[in-house]
Amino acid sequence: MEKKIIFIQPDLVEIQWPNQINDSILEEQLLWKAYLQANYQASVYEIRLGYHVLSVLFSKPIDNIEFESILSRLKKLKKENVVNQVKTWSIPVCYEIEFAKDLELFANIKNLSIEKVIQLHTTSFYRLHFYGFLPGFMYLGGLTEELYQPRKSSPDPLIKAGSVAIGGQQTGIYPTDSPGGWYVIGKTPLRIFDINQTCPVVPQQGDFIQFFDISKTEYLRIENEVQLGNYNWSHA
Amino acid sequence: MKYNLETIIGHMLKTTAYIHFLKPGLMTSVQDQGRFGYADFGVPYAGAMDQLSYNQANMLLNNQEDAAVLEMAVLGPMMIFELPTRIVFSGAEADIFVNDQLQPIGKLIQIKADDQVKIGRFRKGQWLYMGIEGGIQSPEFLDSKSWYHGISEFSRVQKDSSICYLSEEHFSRSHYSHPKLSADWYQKEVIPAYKGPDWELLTIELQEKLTQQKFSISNISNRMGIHLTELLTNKLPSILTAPVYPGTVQLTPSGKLIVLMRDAQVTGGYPRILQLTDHSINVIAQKKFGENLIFSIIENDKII
Repeated sequence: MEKKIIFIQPDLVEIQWPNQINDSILEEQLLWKAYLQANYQASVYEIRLGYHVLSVLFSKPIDNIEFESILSRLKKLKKENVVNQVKTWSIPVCYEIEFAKDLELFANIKNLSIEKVIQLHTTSFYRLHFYGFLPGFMYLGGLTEELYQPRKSSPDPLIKAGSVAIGGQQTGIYPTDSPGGWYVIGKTPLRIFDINQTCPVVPQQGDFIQFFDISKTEYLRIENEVQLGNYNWSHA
Repeated sequence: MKYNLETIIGHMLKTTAYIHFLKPGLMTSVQDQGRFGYADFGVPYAGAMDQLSYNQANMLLNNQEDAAVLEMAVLGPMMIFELPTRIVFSGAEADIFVNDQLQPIGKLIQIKADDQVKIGRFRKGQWLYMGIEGGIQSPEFLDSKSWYHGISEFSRVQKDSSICYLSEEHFSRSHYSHPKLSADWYQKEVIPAYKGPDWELLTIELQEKLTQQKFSISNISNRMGIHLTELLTNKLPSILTAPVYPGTVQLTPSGKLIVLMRDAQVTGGYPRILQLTDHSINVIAQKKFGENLIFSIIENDKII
């Protein structure tokens, strides 16, 4: 795939893929990221991903020639060489009305039944591209087109942590209480961002997410387990 | 084993003490260099808005370079110190009263038990720092003491808050004589910046406007970002969500320029048209509502 290289400041370089959201871009980004982290530990300070961007912050200024040599190595990498460690995480979501303040409105706008919205939302596998917006907020690809819905024109002042929502062509989970312009269609009892863990998030870049429908009773049972520290995230 | 007598005495006399806030001020928080290595999880850097003044405060006290300080803005706090220590102020030129006596920034101030410190009017600059001997002893979250909503226990100092420090009767001597700190370095209008990764989306006309027109700081200015008042009318497309950093200047569809600051999220969806230098971030941080600035492009024309 064609890439554009942009030197932003002496120690910051951005690599841009074509302007698309797709799995093959993500897989190449992850391959490159892993290679840079493993082989340039001393000079690479931080790597960030966007949907079609990988930016590299170096610990000191980098010149053309140095970067060109890094780039030529990256371009030779083969996807087949990567060990596939991608996981699929099952995340419980309660779509009952008290946890889903915008579900009815959303179904009406989309001219779908509530059941159909839940069915569509729980059928897809969503790919975690990166975290952004808030600590622990997942940028997920893979929302079915039938559920695309532009965000609200004025954001709600408070969306509760754990709320599962749809905005634009994306779905996601609010990890902390926050203002937000997305339609809240459900809520997960899981702690999406846990400051007390060494790694505060569970799913990693490149993993898949699937939502499954739970009742209020199950929600309360899982919430209790989470609070006691007894809940284990399940994955395939 | 060889013991250094001074170190032993110093250690023995260190006592846990608290600063009690009678008035919290408006934007008072604990900050340090920032929180690095967690951008993968969507965690912003945070850290002192003006890193230059932050460093000065710790240098003057002979603190470790990553010691935590108190950051204040707009409306300062009123506080009482339990036990003796030394403090120093840097950054904004504000009316600093220690027991009703006016003190300048940059001066090492000896604090006795029950001394009261009150911050009055901010005359020049936006962010004031109070360094304290040994640094503020608040808990670390993800390797940093910087306060940030959702990461640290608190995000702002509240009324009746207390923060911890180590009182020391025996002070190590500072290597620095008393320099005079001033606001001169951030009074200049020119803000050097690199072209942002989406610079090429701007028409030649907009590129010229951006670098020739004067902009001013609007009334929306906080730890996340500074909105500029003058609009840059544009027809730029929105971009796919992409990495942003402190110092990234975003252009919104409505023409608003937003200079992202230390608490900025790690990714954004608006075109990123400029990237401020490290020093420019400190300078713009200190600019107040209504103050002017003009961007000056630094070429970084490396091409592959």
